[in-house]
Amino acid sequence: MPTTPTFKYATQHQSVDPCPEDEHAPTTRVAYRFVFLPIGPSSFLPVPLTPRPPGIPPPRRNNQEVRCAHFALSMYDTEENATKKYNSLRKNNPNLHQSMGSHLAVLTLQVQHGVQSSPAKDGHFRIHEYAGVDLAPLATLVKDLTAVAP
Amino acid sequence: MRDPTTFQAMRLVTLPVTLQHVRDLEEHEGPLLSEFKSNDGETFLYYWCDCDNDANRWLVVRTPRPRLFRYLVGKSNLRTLISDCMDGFVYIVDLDAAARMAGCWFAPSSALPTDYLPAEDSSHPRDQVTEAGFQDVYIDSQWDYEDVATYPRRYLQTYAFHTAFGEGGDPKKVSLDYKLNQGWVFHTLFERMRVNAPPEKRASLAAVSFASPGFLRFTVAPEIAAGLRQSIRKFLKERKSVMSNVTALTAWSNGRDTQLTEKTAKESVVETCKLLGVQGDQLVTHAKSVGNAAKILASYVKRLSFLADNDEEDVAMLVGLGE
Repeated sequence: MPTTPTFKYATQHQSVDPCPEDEHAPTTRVAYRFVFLPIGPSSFLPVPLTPRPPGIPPPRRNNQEVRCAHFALSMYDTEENATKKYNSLRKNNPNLHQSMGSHLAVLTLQVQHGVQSSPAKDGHFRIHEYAGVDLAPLATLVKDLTAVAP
Repeated sequence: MRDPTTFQAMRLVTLPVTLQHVRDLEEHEGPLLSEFKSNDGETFLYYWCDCDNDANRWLVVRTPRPRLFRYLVGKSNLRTLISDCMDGFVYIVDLDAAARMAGCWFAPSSALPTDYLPAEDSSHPRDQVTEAGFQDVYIDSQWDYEDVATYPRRYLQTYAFHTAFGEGGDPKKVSLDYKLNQGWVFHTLFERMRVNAPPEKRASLAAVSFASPGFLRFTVAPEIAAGLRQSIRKFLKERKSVMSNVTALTAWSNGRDTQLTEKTAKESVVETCKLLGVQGDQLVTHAKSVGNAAKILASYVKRLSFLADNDEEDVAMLVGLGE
């Protein structure tokens, strides 16, 4: 009998039940993510996970609340949507690259990587990774998002 | 990160006001802009501006609610909200990975480094502006007593219609078989729809401030309020067709037009409702007659038009309508 995969942050999920939310499902999809250089595990850390590796800033938090979404990774469905969102965020927060990464990477998510939400109108979706999944080696560099003014 | 004293900041032992998190207005794997409130109800914004390996830096800005709503409806930008803040100074707060205070200063807003401020053409977070459970309305006009009474009444009546026939609504067994030809009857009609909705889906006026600029706050069911905003958007887009249909239906239901038959009038009610994203078939069923459905639709559209006109003319703007 096939076994149900466990989530990478299953222990933390227990404190923010129900997590992941019902509308998440495993699927295959090309995904774009903001990353630091060189691309490594530090670009695939969920918000509450600390301490961070040297050179990676602490998560942005201004209150003690922890939500299910904090244990997921944000992705975009197209390069265009990811770039548009990054530029929009950067207009509001010029130093954003220091907190979120300065480059765009692409990877292909498979059903065995975890469960995903459906892309929103702006192309944003989240993935809750299964235990043992390491997405960093699958990611390849697309471009420097700070090379052009937003 | 820069030493804040290099831009005229003065060190504080701690933030001199106790703040509670209300909601994140903009976030991406953690907040970028959050609303907080003090113990005495004043609104503050936490705006992320910088970080290093140990902490994130936030600007904490006292922001009166009308100013915040003005930003949320797209009438001012984030840069203005911070650099032209009413106090003329902001708090600078460094928070570590656990959101514990690692440093605190206050600084004149005019001395903040350029990269600590949003761009001149900074946008507002259209998809995250509505606070769950509330519909806020920003008022940019001096209202007289009649306006003060009219807007909330019309909003609540339009909302009541949506609890029955809008997205997320349910007409259940509501019976709308009134003789619809007098003003007070329409008041009763919308009251019937209001009480037909389960208590958790009903709306009420929660807060008012009628100074200019001012605001209204309604307690709402989010899905009903979102459906109402969507219908206003659709009305603004399809105004000509909707008004043309409603004018013809009104004439027919008052016996002044014989161009329409009952069958074509029913089709027109259903088509007009479809243009507005509300349930026309259900309306006809619960109105007991096509004539009643036409009158109820006209009354609903009149209120929808009122809300749309107020928004278009920048008089009273529904937060979230621009999403």
